[in-house]
Amino acid sequence: MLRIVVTVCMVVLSAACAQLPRAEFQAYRESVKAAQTAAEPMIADYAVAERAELLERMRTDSERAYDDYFPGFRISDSDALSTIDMPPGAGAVERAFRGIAAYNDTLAALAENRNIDEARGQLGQIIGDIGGIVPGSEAGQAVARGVSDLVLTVLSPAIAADNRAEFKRILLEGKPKVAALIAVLRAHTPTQYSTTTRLLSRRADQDPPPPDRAEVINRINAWHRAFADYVALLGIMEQRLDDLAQAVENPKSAPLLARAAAGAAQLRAYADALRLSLAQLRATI
Amino acid sequence: MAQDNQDKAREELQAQKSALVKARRAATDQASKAAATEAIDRLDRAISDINIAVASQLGAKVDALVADLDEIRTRHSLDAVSALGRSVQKLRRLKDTVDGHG
Repeated sequence: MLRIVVTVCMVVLSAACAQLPRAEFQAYRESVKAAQTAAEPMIADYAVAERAELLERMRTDSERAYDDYFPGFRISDSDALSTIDMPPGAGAVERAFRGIAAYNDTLAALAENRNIDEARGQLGQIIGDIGGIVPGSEAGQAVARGVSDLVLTVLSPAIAADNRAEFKRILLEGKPKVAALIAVLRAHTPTQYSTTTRLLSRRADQDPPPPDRAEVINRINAWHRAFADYVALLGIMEQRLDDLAQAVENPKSAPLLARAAAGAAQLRAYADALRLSLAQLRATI
Repeated sequence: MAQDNQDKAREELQAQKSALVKARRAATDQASKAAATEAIDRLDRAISDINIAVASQLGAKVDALVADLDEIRTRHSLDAVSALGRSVQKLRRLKDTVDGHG
């Protein structure tokens, strides 16, 4: 009995010693949410522009027959014409954000010990099922419930410690991959910008200039600012990920906590600026 | 072509295009304007070629990284039963250590 008490105490003690850096994790998640929220309307506009670019390519392809309609269909036409699926570039940007979001959801599930509640629910379900199968087992069920509560009470700290260990492993092993995804998203912005503003640029360049040239140029400049803010948000996301990884490796670092708080204000400023840029763009459509 | 080179090539094409757009605006004869328009369209198409090429390469890069990330986050099952199982195993190991010292 003493051994069990010692064992459980050791597990509880180790669990208490290794707390998760919640402030840094929260700051990181907020930065991803801000970047993703900003990216969504930009991805939608990129998809429309990318389809238009691909469709124009199909129409001007000298190897294809086109006379206001296509007499033949190629499987690759789906990229330009399907509105169910995303075209290649926009689809990839969306998948990158989805991949990061899935990673964050796993970290959040571990930080919140969601599997402990799940275990409680599953054990309760099993006990309930046994009660339904074996008639007259009410007394046994009450005992089983008591045992299950006891088991979970004893094991919860151990599961929580396991969750923290997994959190650390997933965070540190996944960090270079997330950083690489952020770098890929950032490196893609010149192409995304070029495609998104292509038709506007073409209109601005017309000779003689169109009557709404000033308005078209305002929209291109608004996109320029929106992309600048988007890149800044990606940078903040990367910085918050670095802070989180450092906090996991060096727990209870006060300067990191202070930086997370300061970073939250900076993040809100960038996110507000980007929302304003995108709202201005939409108002002029 | 590496993406940095593609970005650089696009910028060079855009600079050439901007110069031609300005020259066309300044030109007074129709022949010069027509020649500039043809060159601008060609440059526009070359820029578009780069955009399409870069976009088509992006998917493979993203998918490889997301697959790595998925492998990392799902390597150990995190559901309730697996977490319980792992915790029981750890407790057993701890108990064996305590027994060993006792």
